[in-house]
Amino acid sequence: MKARSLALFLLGLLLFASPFALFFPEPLGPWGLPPFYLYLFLAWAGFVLLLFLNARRP
Amino acid sequence: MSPEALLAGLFLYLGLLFLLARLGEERGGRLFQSPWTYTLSLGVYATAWTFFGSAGWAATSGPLFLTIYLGPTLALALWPLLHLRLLRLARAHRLTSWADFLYLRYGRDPLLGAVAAGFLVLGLLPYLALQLKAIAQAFLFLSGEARPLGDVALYTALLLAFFTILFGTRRLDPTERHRGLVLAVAFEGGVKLFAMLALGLYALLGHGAEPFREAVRRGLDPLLLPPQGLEGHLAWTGLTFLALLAFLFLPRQFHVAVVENTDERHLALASWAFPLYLLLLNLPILPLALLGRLHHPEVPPDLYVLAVAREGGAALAFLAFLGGVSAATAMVVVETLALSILVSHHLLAPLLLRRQALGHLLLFRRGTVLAVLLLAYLYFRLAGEAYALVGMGLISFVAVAQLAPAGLLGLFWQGSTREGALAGLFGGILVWAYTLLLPALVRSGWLPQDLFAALPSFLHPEGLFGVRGLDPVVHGFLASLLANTGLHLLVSLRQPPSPPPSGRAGEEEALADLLERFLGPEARESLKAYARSLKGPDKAERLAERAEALLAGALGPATARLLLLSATREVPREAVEAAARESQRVRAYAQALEAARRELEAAYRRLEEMDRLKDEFLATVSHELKTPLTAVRALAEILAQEEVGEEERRRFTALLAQEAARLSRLVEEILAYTRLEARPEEPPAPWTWRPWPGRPWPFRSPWPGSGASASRPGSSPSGSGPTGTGPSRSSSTSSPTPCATPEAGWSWSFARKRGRPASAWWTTAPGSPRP
Repeated sequence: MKARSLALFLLGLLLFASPFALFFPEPLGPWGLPPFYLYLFLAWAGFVLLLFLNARRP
Repeated sequence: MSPEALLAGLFLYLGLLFLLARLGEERGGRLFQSPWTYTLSLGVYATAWTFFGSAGWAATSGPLFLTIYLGPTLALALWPLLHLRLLRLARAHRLTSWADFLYLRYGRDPLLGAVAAGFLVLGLLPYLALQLKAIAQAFLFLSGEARPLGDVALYTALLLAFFTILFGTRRLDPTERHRGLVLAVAFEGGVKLFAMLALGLYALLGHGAEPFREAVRRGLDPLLLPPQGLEGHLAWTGLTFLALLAFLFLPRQFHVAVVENTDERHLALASWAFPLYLLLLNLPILPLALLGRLHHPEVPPDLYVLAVAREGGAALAFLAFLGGVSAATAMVVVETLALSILVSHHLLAPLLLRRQALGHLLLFRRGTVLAVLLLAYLYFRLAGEAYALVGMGLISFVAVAQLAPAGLLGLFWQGSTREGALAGLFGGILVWAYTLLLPALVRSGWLPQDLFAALPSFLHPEGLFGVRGLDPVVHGFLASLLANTGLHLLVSLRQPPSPPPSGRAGEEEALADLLERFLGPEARESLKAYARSLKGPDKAERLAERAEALLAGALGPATARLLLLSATREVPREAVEAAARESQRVRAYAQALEAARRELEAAYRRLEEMDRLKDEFLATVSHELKTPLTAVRALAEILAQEEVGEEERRRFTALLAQEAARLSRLVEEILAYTRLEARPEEPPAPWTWRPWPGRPWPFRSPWPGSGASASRPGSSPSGSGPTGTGPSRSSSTSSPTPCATPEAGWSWSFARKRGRPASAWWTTAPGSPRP
């Protein structure tokens, strides 16, 4: 459990603290939405899902 | 909207909160125990800053506002390591805040607790003022009044102080859960999420993706892009880390997450549900910010949410107002409560104890609630205009983060010392005051604008060491945390770890009296019950520890210690040393026991192996003996017949003698072998052997006093193992005496009598001659 949590934390750092400016140079992307925000919220939702699975497994 | 209607709505909402808290206090047990209530009450993290300020921040600086919510998301990923540990620690020692933890962890130093408490109050005043400002600002904007109506903020502050006193300070012991208050806070968590989602839905249905395209057309694309350059990246990661620390160290977060927790399993649900809550709360922020910036450029950015909501009609605007009010009030109530407990534990109680007025502690705690809120109101009136909501909140966040090095290093590093913690804390506070508080005072007009003009560039408070281009808050955060952690590590490493505080022991009656005086008769009963369950020599010390924990929950650890000093005596140093010596002896003894056990095990294995070999040996020997014995028996049977002739009889007798000699040789060889094997120092193991079926025959000793034993019919011949050597045996075995058994039963025995070596002999026919 503890090792999994630590791994999740490191994954979170990678997801949420990368130098995003290198990856998202365009202000608008699919469906007229900003791709950076789209990525952040999708990554966030995926991270919540992983947290959910982590909390369910003892 | 008319100001009267708005005011009525505001007070109706607050009245609803009172009602809810009252109901919750009386019969909210099941609801209070729910993990969802726990998760929603964690939502006290999202304040008016989130509700109104985030949109303003997004509309001016782009996506940085999200860092404040990604930090807690990351922190909750670590809950089995951090939160769970903290929860168990808090339960064991009745902690009510991080200051309590620092006090206990660093050698019960009252100075550390007092510094932490005082600094937190100072550092959090802007944050509280921000909430009052948000309510007042929103009220003014919606009611269309122009005059500075700080009075709404004052009334709200007074009402919230009343609410906190009513539901937060009912009893002296703050570790008792505040059911009503938590239910009201959880309800407010639900209200702000609902309001924000309703606003988001309105923006989505009314405008779709249009605001994004429009923003790009008007040249606002930096708002949609990630933070640019090294400064941008540093600001992003720095703020994420700052939010992570703030989520852990804010007094109100500690209060709802740790003190009000009823079951540690609730953390598992909160670990994913709370990040989800934050995610949903942030989804509508960007569209609302862009709509506000595009449609209402004349309005201050902090009011974009309300301005956009007003487009959707009065009902939506009122909902947005309620959302902001619920966010602000929940925060104000819990933060004020947490701060009042902090102040009464670490500043007031030690003072009152000295003046013999500890009985009025609850009254003073209520006074602290009111005082903190009035101070926040004062701060808002004096300095509230200079900063946007977010700016004020961030300064508080950095202040709170100064507890992090002492707290986290204290939790996870054995070598961290009291002096290190103090040095780090003081260093961090100084740098915080210099890089953030001082510029804030200059900006508010309290200090002259040209204060920093004369300073050399490497000492500029918003750019130490000539740093340029960094966001002032991020700069202050990094500088203060660096100074804090660096000093903590440096001083701790140069010092031997401080010795543990001396143990204390007290009489049961004296301790029970003390508890009854401060906590009531229930505490006395609880201590007595605990005393009955205790056994062992350190009972008095454990009792004193328990009494201290109970007192610490209500009066703060520093006061509990002082009170205990009066009712207990120090455990004498010699006793401690004797106990240490004793435990050392016990340890050595246990080690010796373990070694002996291992030896015994090996010996047992060897023994088993030898036993197996012995069985094998016996089987072989009996097989070898059987052949001549069969011949002897057959010959004896022939001889027993009458018709055998004299010559034949002689021949058979000769044969008999030959076989008997063979037997005798065999036995001789066995004896010779056993002599070789025998070790005289080992005592022989007794054994029984019956090689031939049938009843044993009573033996007679061939030589008087030779040591041969005779067994009676019905009992098996028995003897001792063949050990030792002696002339008597060799003489007896060299001339065995045959004896006959009438029932043709055969027995032989290694006998031993009175410690003398055994002799072996055998019997065959009756009437055999004896030597």
